Amino acid sequence: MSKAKIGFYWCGACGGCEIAVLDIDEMLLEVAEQADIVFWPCAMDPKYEDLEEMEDDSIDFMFINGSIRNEENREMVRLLRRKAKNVVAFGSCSSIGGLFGLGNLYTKEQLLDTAYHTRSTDGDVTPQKESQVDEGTLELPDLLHHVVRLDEVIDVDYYIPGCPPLPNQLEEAFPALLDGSAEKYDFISRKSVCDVCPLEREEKRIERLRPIQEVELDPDRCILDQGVLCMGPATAGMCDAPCPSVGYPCIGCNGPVRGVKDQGARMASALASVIGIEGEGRKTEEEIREAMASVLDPTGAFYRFSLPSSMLRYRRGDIDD
Amino acid sequence: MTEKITIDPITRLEGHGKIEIFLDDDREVKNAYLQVPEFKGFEQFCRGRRAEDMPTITSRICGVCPVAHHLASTKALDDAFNVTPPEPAVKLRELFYNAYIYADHLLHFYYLASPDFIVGVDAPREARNILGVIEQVGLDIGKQVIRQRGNGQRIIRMLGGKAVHPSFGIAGGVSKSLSGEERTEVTELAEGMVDFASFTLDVFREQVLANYEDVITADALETYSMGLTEDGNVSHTGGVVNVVDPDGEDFASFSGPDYMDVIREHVEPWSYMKFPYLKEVGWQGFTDGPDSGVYRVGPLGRLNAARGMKTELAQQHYDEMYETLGRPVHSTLAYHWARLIEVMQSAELIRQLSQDDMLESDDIRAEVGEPGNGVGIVEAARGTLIHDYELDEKGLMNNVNLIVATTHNAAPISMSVRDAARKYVDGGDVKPGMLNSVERAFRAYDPCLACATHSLTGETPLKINIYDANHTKIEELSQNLGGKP
Repeated sequence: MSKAKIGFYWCGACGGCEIAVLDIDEMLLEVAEQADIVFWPCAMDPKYEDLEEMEDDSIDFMFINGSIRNEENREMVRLLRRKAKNVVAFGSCSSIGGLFGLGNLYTKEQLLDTAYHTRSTDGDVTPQKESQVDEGTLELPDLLHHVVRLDEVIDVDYYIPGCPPLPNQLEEAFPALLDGSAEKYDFISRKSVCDVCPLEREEKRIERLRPIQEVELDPDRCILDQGVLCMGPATAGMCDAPCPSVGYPCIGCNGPVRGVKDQGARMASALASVIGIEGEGRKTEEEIREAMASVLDPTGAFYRFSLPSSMLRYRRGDIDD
Repeated sequence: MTEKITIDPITRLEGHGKIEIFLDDDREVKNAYLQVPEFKGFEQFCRGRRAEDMPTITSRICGVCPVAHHLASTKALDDAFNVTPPEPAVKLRELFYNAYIYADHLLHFYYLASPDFIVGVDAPREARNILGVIEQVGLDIGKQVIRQRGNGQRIIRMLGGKAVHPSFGIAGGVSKSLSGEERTEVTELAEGMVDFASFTLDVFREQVLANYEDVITADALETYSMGLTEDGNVSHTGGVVNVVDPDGEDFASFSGPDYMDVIREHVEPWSYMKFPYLKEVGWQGFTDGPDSGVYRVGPLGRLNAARGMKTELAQQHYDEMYETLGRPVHSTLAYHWARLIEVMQSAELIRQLSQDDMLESDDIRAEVGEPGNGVGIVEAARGTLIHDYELDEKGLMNNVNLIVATTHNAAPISMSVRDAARKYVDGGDVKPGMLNSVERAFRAYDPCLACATHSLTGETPLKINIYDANHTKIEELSQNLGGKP
């Protein structure tokens, strides 16, 4: 049997997914023994032309990470789709939209305007799609109006969410993909982070949420029970809860558990069942409102990694198309 | 006829980029532009977020240096909540941070840069990568490289749960200290880390310096240098930012919000990367010398801006570098040497810290004050990193300004690429290895273009376009076109 051909590509990404691949350490050498890595701009030298010259369907598994943020990302993944038998959405950006999806709360003009008019920037210049320099014309890819999920642009065969996917996830995923035993959603857990979390949970009712810097946390007890927002109830648990295990709340980076579409709605319902509560019947409306007001920035906190794949997706109204 | 050559994507770096090279009528290189095509918009979408989420939001600016953003952000929050973390928390942060410097610098040297030196800049493209390096140095050493980088990641994971995008920093402290067992493990790892740092400096001396001294000492840019210093020594986690002029004389120093008095950022319409410069000297375009506000950060910037290193063995190597190359060092490829000297300092600091039983203390959090404004400055692997926050009375983010490590180097990287293009792209005749020599020029900086363009999402490939004298693009080329003009 000939060796499988695999490739890695980053769209609008932070680079963490590439590091995640290196973080399987020596297992990378085993992967390299079983498969030829034919395209990986972060670590190897092939250029776009090499890719264009490849036969269609010639890459067995193309791992794509990052968000689809600009035209170039969109064109590139269409090209990669043609060259690949299987496309794997690698990491939360390509699986569920990712953190840069928070940009969907604004227009692209607002994003650019704020970034290039800060306290320390000069003048009134914003990068342009096309600009003239002395020697000629230079071009930049235009931003899309909002971040879209990879599977809105091309068909995706497998999903490995996580920001980034952890070594334990990849040690399971690489062999399963290469030996053909994997199914599309296998790498999204049906269990939540709470289900795999080692901390002791009593599902205590809490008066109000408090920011973590104001609370001295007991490292053995459930963080949500102690009144600090933890996304564990609404988040898929294939990570084995590394953050709560070191005394830090889950921030929801894996996205929702398998089968759930809207992570934020799941979190809102989990929170509604524990907050405000003690002797609920006797609470005045004002007290309940006050308890709910302690949930600051629910959009940013509940949808931090999954806004583009939620029911909200992006801010409408002031966006033309 | 002006021609333009495009290298796209530029490879073996963190992020996307492309290089446009313009040729004149005589097919000599007229100018070259490094463009960064990606943007994300953090300055805008961080507004309205909960302040305590900033260390884990901004770490996503860069998955290569998440620890740097995480700590800069945590320090900005310390300042914004007017709180000083207890000493054990400060030491745990230092351990965490030096583990990152160790792992990240090794990643750059062995995985990204060394293929050009150990495998060779003219070697076939298929071999110019870490697997090619392992073939050259042998599997045993290759595995050691992988394991040693992994050891740095292991320490980050111990404290932050995850090596990439860890969960550790909280205003006024950290979330976790070490157990006795964990501290023993760090102590054991530390010995090996110091040994491996020595080994790596030997590799540099024997394989890089011995064979490429002319390359290392050429291609200089006479710029100002910037870096954090503590008692005059190179520091990554705290102290005062020092700036020296092209002659190595002290020019300015600042901390906290005073960065605004020293740094301004120029914007060009053709790249999403901003171009910072020294306010007092001014922006004179892409040029070096004392009259240009362009400065350099990162390992070489830091070593130039300091008087020495914090630890003994690193100090010996620091002295050796300046004895060999003179002071200050302006040769771009000396970045590699400076980087490895920092590997040694980080390994020695980890060894020192591991001896301290404070790492097992429970006293890791201090009580915070009311939310206000705050600035956090650290030295990321690639240079000075500034997070500047304004919070509202509820503790939500009102305003965010970020000046990120690679951004400071934006102008120098563009200039080095232009100079390398002038030198190596001869008469527009593109031979194998030539364009890679151009890429080698930016790899020295270990640029992280994901970081640099946090304003948009990050990607950095290299493409060479050829333009004619009518300013029309007539052809796109890349390295694999070999001898074809």
